[in-house]
Amino acid sequence: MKLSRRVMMVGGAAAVLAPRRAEAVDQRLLQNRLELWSNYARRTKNVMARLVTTRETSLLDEPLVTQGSMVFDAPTTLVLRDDGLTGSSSLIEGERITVVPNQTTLASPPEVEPALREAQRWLANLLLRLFAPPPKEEGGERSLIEGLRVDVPRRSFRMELMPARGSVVRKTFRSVTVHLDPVVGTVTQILIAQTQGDRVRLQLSDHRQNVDQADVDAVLETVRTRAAGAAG
Amino acid sequence: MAEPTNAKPARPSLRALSRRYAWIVVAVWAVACGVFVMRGALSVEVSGDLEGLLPPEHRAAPDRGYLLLQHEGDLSPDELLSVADRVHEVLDEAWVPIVAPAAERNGWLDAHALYLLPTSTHEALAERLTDDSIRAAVDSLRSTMSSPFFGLTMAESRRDPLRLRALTAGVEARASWDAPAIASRAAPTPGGDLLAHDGRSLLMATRSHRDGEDLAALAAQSVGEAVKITDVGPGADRRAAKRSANTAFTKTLLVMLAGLTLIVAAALRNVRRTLAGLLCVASGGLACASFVALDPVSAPLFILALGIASGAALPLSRISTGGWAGLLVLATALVPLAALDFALWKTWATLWIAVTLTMRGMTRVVLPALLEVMRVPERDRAARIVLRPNPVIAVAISMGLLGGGWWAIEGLRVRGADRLEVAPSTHATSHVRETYFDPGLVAHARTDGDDLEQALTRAAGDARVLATLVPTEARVVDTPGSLVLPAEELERRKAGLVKLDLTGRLAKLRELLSARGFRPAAFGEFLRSAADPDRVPTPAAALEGPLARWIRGYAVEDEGGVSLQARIHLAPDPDVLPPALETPDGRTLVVHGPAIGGRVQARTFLDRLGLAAGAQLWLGAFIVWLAVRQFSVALASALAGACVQAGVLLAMKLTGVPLSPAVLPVFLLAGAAATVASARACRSAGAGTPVFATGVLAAGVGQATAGLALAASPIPLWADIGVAAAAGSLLASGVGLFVGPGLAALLERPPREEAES
Repeated sequence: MKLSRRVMMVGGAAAVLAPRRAEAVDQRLLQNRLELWSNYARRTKNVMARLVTTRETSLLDEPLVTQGSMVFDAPTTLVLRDDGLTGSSSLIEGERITVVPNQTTLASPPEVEPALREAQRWLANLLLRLFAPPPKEEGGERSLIEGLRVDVPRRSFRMELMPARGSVVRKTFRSVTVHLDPVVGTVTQILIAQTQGDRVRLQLSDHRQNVDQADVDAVLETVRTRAAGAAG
Repeated sequence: MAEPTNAKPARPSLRALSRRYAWIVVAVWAVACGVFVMRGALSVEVSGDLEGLLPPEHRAAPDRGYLLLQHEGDLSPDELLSVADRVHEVLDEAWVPIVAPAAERNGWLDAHALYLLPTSTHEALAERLTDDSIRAAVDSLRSTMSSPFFGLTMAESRRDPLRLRALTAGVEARASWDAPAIASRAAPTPGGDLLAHDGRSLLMATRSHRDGEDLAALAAQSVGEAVKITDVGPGADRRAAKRSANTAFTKTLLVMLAGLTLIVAAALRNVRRTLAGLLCVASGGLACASFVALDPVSAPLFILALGIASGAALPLSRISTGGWAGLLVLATALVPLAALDFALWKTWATLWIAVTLTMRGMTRVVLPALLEVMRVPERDRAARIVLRPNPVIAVAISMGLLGGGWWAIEGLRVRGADRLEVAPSTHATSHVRETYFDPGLVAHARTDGDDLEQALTRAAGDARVLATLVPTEARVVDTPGSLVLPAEELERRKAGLVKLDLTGRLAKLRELLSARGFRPAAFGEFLRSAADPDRVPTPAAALEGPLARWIRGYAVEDEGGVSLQARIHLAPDPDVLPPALETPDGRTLVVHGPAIGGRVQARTFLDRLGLAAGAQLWLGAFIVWLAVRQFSVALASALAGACVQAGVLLAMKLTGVPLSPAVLPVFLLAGAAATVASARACRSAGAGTPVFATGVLAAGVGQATAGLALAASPIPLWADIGVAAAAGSLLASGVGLFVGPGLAALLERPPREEAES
C-alpha cells in the first residue's frame, strides 16, 4: 500500500501531538480532582465521619471488617477509632503516631523498625493532607500531591497517589487510592495497597464538617488518655 | 660575631678555628648542602600518619576500611542494592559484611527464638505462655489489625506473635548482631551492608591491605557514574591529613622564614650578617630534613626547631665557657619524653638532640666562616643593658604566673591523640558519622581460640560480659558471640524450656489463633522453631550455616590460633572509659581502639605532663649547675622554667587551646628556653657584665615567629601548638631577663664575711 504525502503528514503530526494532548487531558483531570477535593477541604476546621475498615491480609482466613469513626482536627490531628473493645485507635498528632488497642488490658503493637519509620511518616503525612485545608494561595490545592506520583483514572472520581520513584517508602506502600464524592468533594474511601500484598480499605460516610469543637475534643481526649495509659 | 665570653683569648675555640679555615669550611658546607639537596631535602614530605602518639595496641587495624556509595536520588533503594551486589563481586574477598545479612539473620533468629532468651527470662516466659497471656497476645494482635499502620509491624508480629523478644529487648540491644544498625540511622541490607533510611547512600566494610582509594576506584569501574563511591576508612583520613599537612607545611615554612628574616635583620642591622645567619639556619633545616621523617604531629616541631636555631645567629651571652651548657639544655629538652608511652615522642626524644646539634653546628661552625669570607667585622652593634635584679618584682611575677597556671590547669580541656584535628572532615566522612556511626568510636575486644569454633564458643560468653558496658560505656556491642550459646548455658536453657511444656503451650496458641480467625500457617516459622528442641544455636551450627561468612569478618588469624574481635560502639562522652572485664573462666577482656587510647591519655595526661615538665626542669637545672656551680642560679633557672610552663598553661586557657599530647614538647621547649635565658641573665647579672638585650629579645621573638606562623596555618592542631609555642617563647625571654636574676639574688646566700659582719 502506498501512502500519500498528505496522509503521512497528518499521521506524523498526530503521532507527535497525540501524547501531548493526552498529557494535557491528564493534567486537566488531575486539576479537576484537586479542585473538587480542595473545595471541601479548604473549609475544614474539623471533620467527623463514620468509618468502615476492611483489611485483606494473608494472616487471616477472611478479611477483617471493623466499624468505627474518623475524627480530624485541623491542621495535624487525626484519629481512626474502632467501635468496641475488640478494636483499636490510631492517633496521628503531627509527627507522632500512636496505635493502641481499645481494651486497656491489651498490649500495644511492637515499635516500628527504624527502617520502616520513613514509610510510617509518609503514610501519616498523607492521611493528614487528605483532610487538612490546603494553602490559600493560588495552586495551593497541589500541596496534596507534592512529592508524590499521581495517576488519575478517567471514569471515576479518584486519584491514585504513589511514593516518588527512588523513595524507600515503595518497599512498604505501593499506593494510596483516594475516592472523592463527585458532588461535594469529600474523601469517601482510602485504599492503601501495601507492597507485600495487604490491602486496607477505609470507607468514610456521614461526613460532618466543622462540628462543635467540644465533640471533637471529647473523642481526642478519650484516645489521648488511652494512648498515655498504654505508654505509661 | 662578637659574643662576650669568659673564655681566655688564648684558649682554642671552634669559632677561631672556623675563621682560620674559613674557605675550607665554606667549601665543605656548600658541598654538604648540595648533597642534602640531591638526597631530596628540598622535597621533604609530611606523611599522613596520625596515630604516632597512640600506643600500638590502640591503633586502628590497617586492613579495615569503609566504602560509601552515594547517589543523587536517581536510583531506587533496590537499584542501589543491586549496585552494591556488583561491588561485592568486584571486591570479592576484600568485602566483608558490616551486619549479618538480613534473611540469614532472621532465619537464625526465628529458628532459635526461645533458646536466645536467657534463663533469667524463663519466669517471664512462663508467664507469657499461660492461657490468659496467649489469649491477650492474640487479641492484641487482632485488635490492631484495623489500623492502617499495622502493616509496618506485621512481619514482626508474624515472627513473634507472643512478643517474646520484648523479654530480651535490653539484652538484644546491648549485644546484637544488628549492632551497627542499632547504632546508626540505617537499616541492614539483605547483603550485609547498611542502607541509609532515605535510600540515598549505602555503607559497606572492606578488609584488605590494598589502599581504600584503589578499592573505591576498582568498584567505581563496575558501577558507572550513577553512583559515587568514596573511601571513608582510616586511609581516607590519612590521605586528607597528608594533603592538608603538605600544603600547609610549605606555606608555614615560608611565612616563618619571612618573619625570621625581618627579625634577624632588625636585630643585626647588617645585610651580610643577616644573610649569613639565615643561610646557616636554612642549611641546618636542609640537613635535618635529610634524616627526619615528618608527620602532621611532628612537623610543627621541625618548624619550631628552625625558629630556635635562628637565635644562634644573634649575639647572646653564654652560660658557660664555650657555650655548651645552653646548647645541652636545649638539646636535652625532650629527653624526658623517652620515659613516656607516646611512641612518636619517644623517637623525638633522641631525634631532637640530633636536630638541635645539627642546626647549632651550622651556626657554630659555618657562621664564623661565612662571616670571615664575607669580610664582616667581629664587632656588632647590639644593644647591651646591665641587669639590676629585683627580687620583689621577680617573686611577684613568678607567683602570678604559677598561680595563673594552677588556675588554668583546672579548667583546661584535655584532648586525646585520637582527636587531633589536622584536616577538615570531608562531606562523605561527615555523612558517615551523621547517618551511620563514627568509625573512630568503634573499639574492639579480642577473644582468642585454637580454632574459629573455640573462639566463637568463648566469644559467646564474652558477649554477655561485654554487654554490661551498655549503656554507660558503650552504645552497642557488635559480636557474633551474641547469636550462639556456650555449651553449659545451652544446657541450662534447654532444661529451663523443658519445664515450660512448650509443645502444649504452642498447641494452645495454634488453637487460639484459629479461633480468632487467623491462619496458623502464617505463623509457621515461629511455631515450628519453638516446638523443635533440637534446633539449638551452637557455634558449630552457626559456622556451618549461611552466617559463616559474616562471622569470619570478625576473625583475625594469628600464629597458632584465631581471634574474634567484638566491635564495641563507644558512648560519645570522651570522659567515659570501659574498664577491663573479667570473664567467668578467668580471662581478662580489655577493650582497645583509637578512642580508648585517646581517652586513657586524656585521663592521665596531667600526670604525664607534670612528670615530663619536672624532669626537664631538673635536667636543665642540673646542666646549669654543672656549668656555673652556683646552686642559686640553677634553682632560679628551673623556677623560671616552671613559671614559663605555668604561663603557657594560662595562655592556653585564655585563648581556648586544649591540652593534648601533641603540645607536650612545647612545654618542655618553653621550659628549656626559659632555663637558658634565665641562666644567661643570672650569669651576666652576677658578673656585673651587660646583657645583649637585643639578642635575648630577638631570639625570643624569633622563636615566637615560628609559633605564630604555625598559629596562622589552616591546620587546627598546628594552630594550637603555635599559640602555645608563641606564648612560651615570649614568656621565656621576659621571665629569663627579669625573673631569673631576681630569684637568683633572693636565693643566693650572702658571702661568709658579709654574713658575719
